[in-house]
Amino acid sequence: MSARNTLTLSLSLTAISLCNIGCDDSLKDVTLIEETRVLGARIESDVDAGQATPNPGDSASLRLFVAATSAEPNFSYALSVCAVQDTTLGFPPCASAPFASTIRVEPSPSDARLDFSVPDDIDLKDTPHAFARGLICPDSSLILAADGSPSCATGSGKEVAYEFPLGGAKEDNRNPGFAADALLLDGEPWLASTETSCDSHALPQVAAKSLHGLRVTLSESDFELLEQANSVEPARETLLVSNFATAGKLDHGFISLNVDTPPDQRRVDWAAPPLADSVPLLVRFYFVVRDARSGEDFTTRALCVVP
Amino acid sequence: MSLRVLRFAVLSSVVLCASRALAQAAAPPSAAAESAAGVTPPRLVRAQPAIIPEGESLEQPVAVTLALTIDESGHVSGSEIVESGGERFDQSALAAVREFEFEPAQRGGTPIASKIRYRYVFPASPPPPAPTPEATTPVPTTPILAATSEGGSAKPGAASEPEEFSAVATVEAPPREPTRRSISGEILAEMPGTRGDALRAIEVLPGVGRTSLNNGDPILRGAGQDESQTYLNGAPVPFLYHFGGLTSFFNSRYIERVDLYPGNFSARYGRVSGGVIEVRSKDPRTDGFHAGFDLNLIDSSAFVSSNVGKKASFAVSGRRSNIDLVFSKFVPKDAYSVVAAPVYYDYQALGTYRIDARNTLRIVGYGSRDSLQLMFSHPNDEDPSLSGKIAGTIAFHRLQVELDDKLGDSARQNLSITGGYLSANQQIGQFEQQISGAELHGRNEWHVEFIPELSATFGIDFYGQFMSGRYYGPAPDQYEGNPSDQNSSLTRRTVSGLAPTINVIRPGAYLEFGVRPTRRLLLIPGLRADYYGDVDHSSIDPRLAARYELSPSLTLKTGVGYYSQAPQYWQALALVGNPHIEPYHALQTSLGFEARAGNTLKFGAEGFYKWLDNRIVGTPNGAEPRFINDGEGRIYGAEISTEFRPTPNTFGYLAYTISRSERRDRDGAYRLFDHDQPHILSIAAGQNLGRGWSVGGRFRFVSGDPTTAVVGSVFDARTGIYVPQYGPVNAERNPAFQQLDLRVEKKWIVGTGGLSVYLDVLNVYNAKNPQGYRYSYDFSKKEAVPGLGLFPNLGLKGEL
Repeated sequence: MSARNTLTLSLSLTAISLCNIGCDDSLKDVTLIEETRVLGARIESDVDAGQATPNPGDSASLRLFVAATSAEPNFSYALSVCAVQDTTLGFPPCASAPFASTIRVEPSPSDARLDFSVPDDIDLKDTPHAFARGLICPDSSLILAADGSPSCATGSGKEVAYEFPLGGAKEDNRNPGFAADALLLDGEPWLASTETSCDSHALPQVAAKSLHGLRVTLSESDFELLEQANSVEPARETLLVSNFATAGKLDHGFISLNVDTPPDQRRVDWAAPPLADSVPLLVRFYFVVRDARSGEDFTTRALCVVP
Repeated sequence: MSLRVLRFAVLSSVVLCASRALAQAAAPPSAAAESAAGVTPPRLVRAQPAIIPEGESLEQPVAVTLALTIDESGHVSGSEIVESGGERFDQSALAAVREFEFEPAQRGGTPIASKIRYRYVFPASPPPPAPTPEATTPVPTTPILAATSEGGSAKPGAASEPEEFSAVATVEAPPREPTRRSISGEILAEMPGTRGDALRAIEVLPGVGRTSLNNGDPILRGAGQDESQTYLNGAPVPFLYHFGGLTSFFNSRYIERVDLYPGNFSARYGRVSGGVIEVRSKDPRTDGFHAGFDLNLIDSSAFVSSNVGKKASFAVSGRRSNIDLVFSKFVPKDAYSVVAAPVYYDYQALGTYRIDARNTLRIVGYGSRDSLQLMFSHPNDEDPSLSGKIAGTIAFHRLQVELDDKLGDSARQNLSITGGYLSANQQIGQFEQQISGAELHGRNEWHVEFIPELSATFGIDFYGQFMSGRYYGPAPDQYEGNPSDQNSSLTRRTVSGLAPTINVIRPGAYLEFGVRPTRRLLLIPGLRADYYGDVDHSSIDPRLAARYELSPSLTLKTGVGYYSQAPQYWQALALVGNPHIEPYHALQTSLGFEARAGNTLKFGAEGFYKWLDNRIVGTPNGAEPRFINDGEGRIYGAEISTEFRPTPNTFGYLAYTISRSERRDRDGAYRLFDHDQPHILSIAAGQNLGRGWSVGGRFRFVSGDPTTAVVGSVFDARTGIYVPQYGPVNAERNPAFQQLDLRVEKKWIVGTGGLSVYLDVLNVYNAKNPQGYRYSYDFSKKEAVPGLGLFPNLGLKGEL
């Protein structure tokens, strides 16, 4: 980049981010789940669910992490996966026809999932990655055009893409994982729950308009070792946790974690919403953890906001 | 740029010199009136009395020395103060000399423009009677002459009757280009809306577009910012403005003149295909010690200057921004902390030594530094790669040595060498770039005038950049015409790490003739050759300009030429670029005229057409070889310009450009250039009200830049962010830009110096001027990003 452009770019990015962070964001809150959205994706090898990089010949599945304002998102979908070459910019084009695809024409609350087998004859030197592309149609059925391209019967749907490396010694990668006790609410263990209402009082309860701290803890083993080109000492992965809620206000959307990140920096604050009619409100939280190599995991939590 | 008159003689030498010339009146005026080669200086035929300002009592004579520009018709077309006698006397002298009439200078019997030094002495006198409109006391119309050849001090005292003068007279050579537009003198410093920044004053000239958020160097006739170059005393500078547009890097106090060549420029300039901005620094004053300051909301500066003996003078100035003093107050503290607020510095040091009557040595040192550092508390919600530290620092330091050497009566050499250091460091989270190293530029130019009808210029120049550093970040891609690169999240980019050594060696040579087959016709054929060592390619650029004087007040002009553009060094860098990339080219044509009505009105119109060939574009998806020469472009339009000076105290500019600038990438269809601005209108005016008051205004209207619509988005589950999907490139357009700026200034004489207070109000009616759009995280909603709103810049200037 030319010297002339260097600082201009830096300052432009700063200006943009200053505006995005500091300006009153009246557009949309990325942390607020207001509609059915895809939040993440995960590859699980059939042999080992923690393995994120299937080898040629392996069977694996691709799962989408879909969130909605209701307990169970209702949607149809189409997914396909193909082998691709490395690219520096943009989504990579398929090097050949997709080697797996699936569609669900009618909406249903079941997970979005594509089971596939990586072809034996894939040349990892030429096509070291696979690329999944799809469409989900919230509360709508799916239509396939004559050329096979999907669209939603109602609404425009949500397009999703996911690129992941195929196996090989260099690309071996494991998914990070949320343990059962990975999340704390105001310092207390916050466990997953299948509750769908506040009636049973089984969920944690917080007062309307109160402020709370949510903290993430990950196992040291989740921070995998990485080779460094100019050092004998391997480095540890950095993991990025993104967080979402169906109500209230999270103060930021990402937490960057290293193995030695202090506890106070593993935290995001959440402000409970006001209650319009003094009726307890069940609020769902969604968390996604990513490494920089397509490894992911996701989890949900819930609590009740009471008057 | 200094004006010289060359004393002509026929030479048998094959040595070639610059097309500027110096005439020297070494003997009493009558003897110097004609030189052996047929050049005569101008002769005063009618003087206008200067009025002693009301209430002034002169116990001692007061002298004011001026530099006058005299056009071919003998009218004074420009005047500026060289040695001040005080604000009020200066203004009186300026008002008087603008009414002077001369027999114009002549070369071979043909009237030519010239420049002379002229000195008024207001003799000591008792106080005038109580002022009434009739009771003015004219100064005897007997100016005392600057008697020495170097314009040194003349003896005080008034002569009793007019005398012919002897002075250093300089003749402006005919332009070497069809189109050169210049701004000089007091206009540079007082143009409204520029905050006294001379290099922003060019915005009133036709063909000068604007960039969003003032993001960098100006757009010249639809050319990209990287396709035009700014020169300081003939050496290229890294950039024009601090922080991409706030303030220019060189203090305007030491800028004598800014020449704009929007196209079809001389063979003297190469390696760019767009336009050229040539900045000429001003020699320090020779009339003793001076010091001063300028404080305003944006920055603060100070200077000192002095002569050293009779032959030398120096000046030093420094400037620092004030932004950091208030920046933290506008920063949301919960989002990030400010480690180092935006701040810029610049400095200039100038020295002039007149070795003898023929040789002058100039040394100019200058430097600039811009820096900013923020620390983000958390990754950005919409692009998590924006996290941790965001910092940028760019700095350069230069030393330029220039020797003007008159080899003989009609031969001249100009040698300049510029060396310096440049560093550019940038960090955005995990991504960083650190590049630093040396820069070197040299030029040696000769000019010889064989006969009045034939002159030649030959020059060699060299540009070198020797840098090293490291880079860890996204691989660069085509920027212009590529919304994916301009708006792409860094999170999703493939990262490259390298430690490059960059050696850019680019020598060049040029040859240009000035041919007058008839008195009215001037032909300027030229040829330029360049070698690009970093890509091992060369270019040969033929050029031709012509001017035909239909009458003393009407000149036709035309030009055609080939202009080669060097690749950006990173486009040719192994691992991220294509080492086999080639330079690309522009074929430029223009046709127009210049007209004048007396001394008050100049008017010009010009049409232009440019073809761009072999443009460098990126490959699809950044696939190897990453960059290829497979693009084209076309730019065409017309400009009109008007300069109006109805009185010595009034100026007015009007410029309008209509144009279209298009590009084609690879085998695609033609599309609009990122900064295609079909309509550019600039109107500026200023009025000196007297008693130290002056006011001015400027209005600009510029078509909005093209923009590419976002038609949807795709959620990238790997990174957790949305990727915009674009419609046709540059098929839509941002709203037009419009802005009115006003300036008012009040000056006082304080002792031997002066003090002034000024108020520059930018965007008087607070036009929103959307610069583009920002989008929600999923690109389903958007809102306009406003430009700079109403901004009053209050300043205080003082000078001893």
